[in-house]
Amino acid sequence: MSISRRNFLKASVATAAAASVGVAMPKKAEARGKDVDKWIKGACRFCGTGCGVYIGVKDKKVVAIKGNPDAKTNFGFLCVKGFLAYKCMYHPDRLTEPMIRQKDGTFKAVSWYKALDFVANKFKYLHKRYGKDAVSYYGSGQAMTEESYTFNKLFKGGFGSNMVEGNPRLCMASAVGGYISTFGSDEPVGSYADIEYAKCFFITGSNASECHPILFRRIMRHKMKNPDVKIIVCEPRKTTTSKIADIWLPVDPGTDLAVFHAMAKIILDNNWHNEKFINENTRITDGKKTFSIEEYKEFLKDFTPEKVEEITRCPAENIRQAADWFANSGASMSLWTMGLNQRKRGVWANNLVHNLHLITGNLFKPGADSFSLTGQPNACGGVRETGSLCHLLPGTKPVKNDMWRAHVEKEWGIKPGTIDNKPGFHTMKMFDNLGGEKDAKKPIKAMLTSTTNPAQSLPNLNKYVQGMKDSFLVVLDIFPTRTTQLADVILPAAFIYEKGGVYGCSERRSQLTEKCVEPQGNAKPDVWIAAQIAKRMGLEKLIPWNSDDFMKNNEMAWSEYIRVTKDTDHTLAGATYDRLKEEKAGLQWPCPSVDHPGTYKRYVRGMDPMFEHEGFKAKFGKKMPTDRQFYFYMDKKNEGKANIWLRPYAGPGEVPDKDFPFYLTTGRVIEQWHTGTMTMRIPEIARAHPNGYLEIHPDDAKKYKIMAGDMVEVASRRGKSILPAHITKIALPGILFVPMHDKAMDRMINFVCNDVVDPGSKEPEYKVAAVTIKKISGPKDVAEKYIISNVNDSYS
Amino acid sequence: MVSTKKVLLSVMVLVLAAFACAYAGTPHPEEMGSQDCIECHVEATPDVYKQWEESAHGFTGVKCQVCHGDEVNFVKSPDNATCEGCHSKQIDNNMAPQARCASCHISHNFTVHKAHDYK
Repeated sequence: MSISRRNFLKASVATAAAASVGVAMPKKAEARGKDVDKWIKGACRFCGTGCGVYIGVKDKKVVAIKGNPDAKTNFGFLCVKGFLAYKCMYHPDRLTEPMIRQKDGTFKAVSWYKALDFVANKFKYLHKRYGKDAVSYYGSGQAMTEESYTFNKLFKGGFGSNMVEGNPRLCMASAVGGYISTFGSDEPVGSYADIEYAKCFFITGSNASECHPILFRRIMRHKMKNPDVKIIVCEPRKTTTSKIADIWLPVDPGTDLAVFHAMAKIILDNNWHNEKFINENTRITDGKKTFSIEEYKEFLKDFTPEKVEEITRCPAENIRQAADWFANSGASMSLWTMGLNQRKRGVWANNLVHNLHLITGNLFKPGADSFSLTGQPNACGGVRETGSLCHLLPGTKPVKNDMWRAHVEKEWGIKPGTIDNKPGFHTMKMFDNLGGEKDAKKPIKAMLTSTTNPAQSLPNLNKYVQGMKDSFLVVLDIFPTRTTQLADVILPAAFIYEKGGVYGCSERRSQLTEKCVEPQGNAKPDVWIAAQIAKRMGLEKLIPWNSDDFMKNNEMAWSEYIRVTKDTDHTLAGATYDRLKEEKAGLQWPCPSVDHPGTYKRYVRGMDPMFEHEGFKAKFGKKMPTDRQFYFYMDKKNEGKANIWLRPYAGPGEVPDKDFPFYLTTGRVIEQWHTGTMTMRIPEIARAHPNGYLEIHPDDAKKYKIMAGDMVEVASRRGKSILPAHITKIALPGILFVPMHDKAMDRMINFVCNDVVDPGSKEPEYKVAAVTIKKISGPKDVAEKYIISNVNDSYS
Repeated sequence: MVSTKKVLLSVMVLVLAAFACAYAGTPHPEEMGSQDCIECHVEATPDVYKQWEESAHGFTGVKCQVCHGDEVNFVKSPDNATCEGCHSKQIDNNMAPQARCASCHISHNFTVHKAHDYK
């Protein structure tokens, strides 16, 4: 049965009204909720905040959602996406049948048996004909942990292929590189709970007000109650995050490393550093040698605020003030997201922010932390922690690590040597090497993607589309997308509330979502799909969770995952399914046993259970000196120290020049999520943000004779887009901005973005491109709320 | 003479219309075209816009359509079920449960509850 979009809207109104006077879990609230059969605990589907929700179900349909007041992340509040966008699960465009592309180019609906047999046979053939690395998986920080774990196991343990990647490579890889190279272990030291204790916030490379609105709400409320709390925002654009800021540090995109060094210089020159903390807990290093504080000062000597102002356009006085507040407020908390990560020197940018915390001792006390806000709801839990990237294994340990590889092989019950000790290709290299059987230069012949839309979301798209089109591409998704337009097989996936599973958010917190309703049509959970493919390839023993009881499958996968990783610094051994069902706010790792409450601060004796974890110490050869209150136990040198990095200044991959005189940076708006495949289908959201646009400073607009709404071509060395002009002083002259969500071909900004990668993290530099602009025409109404409804529409 | 069929049809239309009104609220008084709510309301209702902009909702991006819906499902005065999406704890501790939230927390510069007053 299909319903029109207008009817969908009316139906969603009716269901919302039916859920009126909704029911909370507390008994008093339940009494009110005659129109909702039950409220089921879960997590929000969207950003990395990890908001706890209750999903209202009536007559076996999801009819309402509300924030979970007991959740430690959101305290019951939801943003526009969390509040409205779940309704997309009943949109008439949902994919509900498996489909195979026919010879005439159109898709034909087939049975699951036929689709799965077709995929498995093709994978078997390509695997045999072209070798183990001819098949690849490209997953998502929005897939459930059980799903990422299962696909990772199938490919690395079953096919022997490390060609396993996911879109967290495009968003968080530099944060991972920063945490591991500075502290020895991925993910933050502290928690969101530090927000309410912080005396100073350093928000850099993050528009938290739009990208993490619920955390921004916490910061705003904290500032409102405590006006003395200082808020520093360091961003190329003066976004709505700056509404609560005490000072804005404008910078040209990709130049902020100089600002971070200048702040360190000011802190050291003024003796605002914490020498005791530095001496006891850190080493100052360039990766080869160690240095004294005096030598560090010498390294920084050229980063005077005035010189840095010349490099960055950030006023010297602002840098001085920021350094003072950061060092002297009492407890400083840094927060960042893609502005630091999606950069050619993203790892270094992360290192330099960590440096500020290490030299001032702003780390272990309440309110002090160097905290990377994750973009996606399960990039941390699902991909980073399960090691679902080409160089990792579960527990975020490298495939190169002989001990850990042997451990995983033993746990998985596979022959020693099955897992390749050589990492596969990182995301950009993987897509660059993806192609058809006739193309001898492309060794990867097949890809299975899930819960992501690379045909819209990769940077420099022109380079990668043909490979996706030529290869054998299997796409798991809930809607037609730009990627399904290039697919050979589409497998209809279940929505989070139709399958359940665990999400792990930015603050090391894992939360279970229970299955609420049956999937639409013949859609199926990824875990079931992966297990059925495994079964057809003779790998049923490896992935035995293939029943029709979806939550049982999830529990089997999760239980195995927490067993495999029980002795790691990321242990979730105490977070059993039974416990996660009971816990109203989930659990933060390390959580080594069922009686452990979870961990607020890592590396602090008395707070972090790893100090007493004998299994961990034995497995990884760690000794914890009893006289150390703080100990970075994953330090590679086994000295329990973090690294203060002497990183040279490096700018972005390309800077404006005569031919491409502008900086272009891209980002999000509060209403939309990623490529808009879900959110653009929600009428209230689509109205608020119906199309992409080009933000341009009035001085630049005047120079190019551009008026508000004029259609402007923005072009880089790689591609172009045509967008309506939005004239605003939000950024300095010379800096342009385009939101990234629009999927209309003319406005897909990723054709323009740069795919140069960070040499360490391999994360591409979405945030900085050199571009030129040209007025194309006067204003046009492009508020078309563009979505792809017909699976047979072509990629054009 | 009016046929029974026509009477029945009219009754059915009325019932359906009543049902639609009950569930879909009142249509937005103006055609919205492709404009966002704020684009018009910044001039049409500048006081309301200013109140909202300076409220917690304004600071945290809770824009018009989150509470009031879109053109087709427009709700002039949202009921408590809408507020409950984010404020269920406040509703659980509401000392006047029969009243609408907005009757005390005047839109659009809402006052806030104090968490320590809660049970």
